[in-house]
Amino acid sequence: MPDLLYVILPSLVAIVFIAFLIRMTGIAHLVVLETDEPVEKTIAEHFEGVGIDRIMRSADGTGALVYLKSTPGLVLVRALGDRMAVRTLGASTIKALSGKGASLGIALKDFTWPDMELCFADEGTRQTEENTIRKAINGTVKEQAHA
Amino acid sequence: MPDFLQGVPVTTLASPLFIVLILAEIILIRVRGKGGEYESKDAATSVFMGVGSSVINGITGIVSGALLISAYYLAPYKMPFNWLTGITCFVLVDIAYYWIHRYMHRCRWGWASHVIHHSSQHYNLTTALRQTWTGLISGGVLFFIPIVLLGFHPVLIGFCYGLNLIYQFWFHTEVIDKCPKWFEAIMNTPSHHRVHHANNPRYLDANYAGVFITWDRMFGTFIAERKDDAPRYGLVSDLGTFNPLRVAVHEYVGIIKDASQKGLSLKERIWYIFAEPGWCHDGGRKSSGQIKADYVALHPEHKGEPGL
Repeated sequence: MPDLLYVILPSLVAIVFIAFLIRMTGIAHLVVLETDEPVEKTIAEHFEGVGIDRIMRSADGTGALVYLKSTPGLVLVRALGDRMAVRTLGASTIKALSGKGASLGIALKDFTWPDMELCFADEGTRQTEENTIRKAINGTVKEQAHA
Repeated sequence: MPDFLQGVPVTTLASPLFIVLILAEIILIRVRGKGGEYESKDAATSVFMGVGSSVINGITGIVSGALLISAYYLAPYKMPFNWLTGITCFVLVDIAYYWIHRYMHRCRWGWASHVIHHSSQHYNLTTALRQTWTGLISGGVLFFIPIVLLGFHPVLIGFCYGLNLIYQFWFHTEVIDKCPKWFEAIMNTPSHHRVHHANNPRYLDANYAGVFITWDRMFGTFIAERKDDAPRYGLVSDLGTFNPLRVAVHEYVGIIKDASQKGLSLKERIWYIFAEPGWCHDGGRKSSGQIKADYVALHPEHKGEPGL
């Protein structure tokens, strides 16, 4: 047990110090989706040759819904530190949609993808996007009470 | 048995060096303004995974050690401890590492353990520490049994494996571009290993080597880094979380979900566990071969190039 402490305690100190140093040096540039550009770049990397129909960015800059002109059709993008992660949306991948006010909660059947909330400009916009998603995935996703 | 082979694992002893080099890399990137990227949550997750790996594998290593010791009793000849057997053992361990590593990329059960190391979208020295917590159940230890049966003591094998892992630390960096040609020809380097961590179609399933890149050249899995196709790091489908627990077990969760689907045959359930990553009974996902084929279909001018 003391041997384990010799490993764990200095390591925890090191983790905190490394994270602190990265922040202090400013070498990480966290992604905030203030424009469509980072979303377009990410889509181009993941779905080469597939055109973008339109992008609906979350008001808080944490994610975006992307409507593509061809397969896979509908994509969800989330900012993850200074990078982005992408998932295609479909009846088999969405666990639940929950809209309330201007925000739309999206839960995926994906262990590595925490539930996500996209905040739109107003309730009308959220309702439009929610309806579009439901239509795109044939309305097979169940309703979920908004947390 | 020499005293230095007993006691604390060499990788644990090297931990302070790892931390110093990580700090040096961060400062160097800051000063030069290029040569890699860091993000605090990503780096913290990687180092935390490393700590967890040391602790968990330190405990489960007892089982692996017992297995190898049992096999050692069956060895008809026991090698003495000297420089010659030490160097021979180091080379044999590196060959075994190549095949363990290849198995872990080509079989989903192994990949479920090894995917952790590839789950960062960054490539820096902390990525080297992002190691598996489930090494014991991956089955990788079985690859060392032939070396034990040749008469090499499991403690010597463990020591050589530790040195192998320490060597692998330094080349997880973008700070170093290319090493001298003779070195690139024989040894694993930052350039070769960047290819291994890249998810560009041409780079998938390449450069499995630990110390000597020679094995990849011999067994046909070597691909050189290209300036016109800069590596992009991470998984084909990147994780959406930094949570270490989710990072550690996500592929096992995926295996359970896939193999327990309704309406599958027994063969399909087994295939979800042991077939290559990306295998799917209904074609809903892509293996690395299919990803490469799709890329070539989109870029026929690259057909026939290494990796495509």
